[in-house]
Amino acid sequence: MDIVKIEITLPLPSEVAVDTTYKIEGTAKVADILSPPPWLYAQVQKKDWYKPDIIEETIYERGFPMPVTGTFSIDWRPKKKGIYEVTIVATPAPLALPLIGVPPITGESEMMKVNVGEEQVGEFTELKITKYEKITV
Amino acid sequence: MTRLLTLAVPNEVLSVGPGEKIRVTTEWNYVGPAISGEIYTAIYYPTTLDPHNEIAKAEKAFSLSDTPPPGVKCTGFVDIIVPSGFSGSNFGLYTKLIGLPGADLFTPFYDNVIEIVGGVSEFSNLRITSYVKV
Repeated sequence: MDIVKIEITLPLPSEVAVDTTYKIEGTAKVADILSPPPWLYAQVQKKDWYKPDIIEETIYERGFPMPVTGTFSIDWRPKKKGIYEVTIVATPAPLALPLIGVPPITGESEMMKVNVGEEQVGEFTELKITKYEKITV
Repeated sequence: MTRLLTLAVPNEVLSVGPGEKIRVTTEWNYVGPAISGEIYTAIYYPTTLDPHNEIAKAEKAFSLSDTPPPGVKCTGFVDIIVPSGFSGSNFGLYTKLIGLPGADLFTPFYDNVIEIVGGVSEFSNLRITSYVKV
C-alpha cells in the first residue's frame, strides 16, 4: 500500500508534441496525515520496444507540493519523439539526477501513456487591422 | 463635407499631425500550441522603388497559450508616433506578425488611410534685408 496518495487532476494528453511544455497537476498527501510529501517527481520513461526495461531512458522532473493542500504542478517538455510512460512518484529523499537504479517509492499515481509526435504548428487566420485612432501623447 | 475622425476603421482616412500618436489595433484568430511573437505595424507611402516605404513603425511582444480548436480571437495594438518631415494623404498602414516559426504573417496593405497635415516645414521669402559696417 502506498504511504503517499497521489491523485492526478490534470493529466497529460495522450498525444503531445515535441518541444512543447505540458503541465501535470494533482494532489499528493501522506496517508491519514494532512501534509504533503516533500519530494515528488514525474517519472518519465521512454519506451522503446527493442530495449529491455533496465536500459530504457528515464528522467525525473521535480514537483513541489503546496503545504496543507498538497496540490502540485509539474512541467514536462519532451525533447524526443516516441512513446512514453509518465508516473508521478513520491520518494522519501531527493533523487540525484540522472538516477540509475530503482529509487525507493513511497507512493505513485496511475501511469499516463503519452505519444510524443511532431512539433505542432500554430495556425493564424483572419489577420487584419480593425481600427486606428489618434491618442493623447 | 469633410469629417474629422479621431477613430477610423480600414479604408476611412485618419488625419494626423507630426508628433501625434496613432494606436493601431490588429486582430487575428489562432489555433495551436503556446507561442510568442511580435506585432509589427508601420506607416508607409509608395515610392517608385518601394510601394511600401516605411516612415514609422512600432513593435510589441505577445504570447499565446496553448489553444486547441476552435481557437481564440486575439487582439493587439501598437502606438506609432507620426514623424515630422512628411505630409500628404497617400500614407498607408499594415501589420505583420514577426518572430514566429516560419515566415512573417501580413495583414492586407491599407493604402491611403492616413493623412499627415502640416508635416513639412516651409521656408519662404528668404533674403538679405540689410548690411551695415560694424
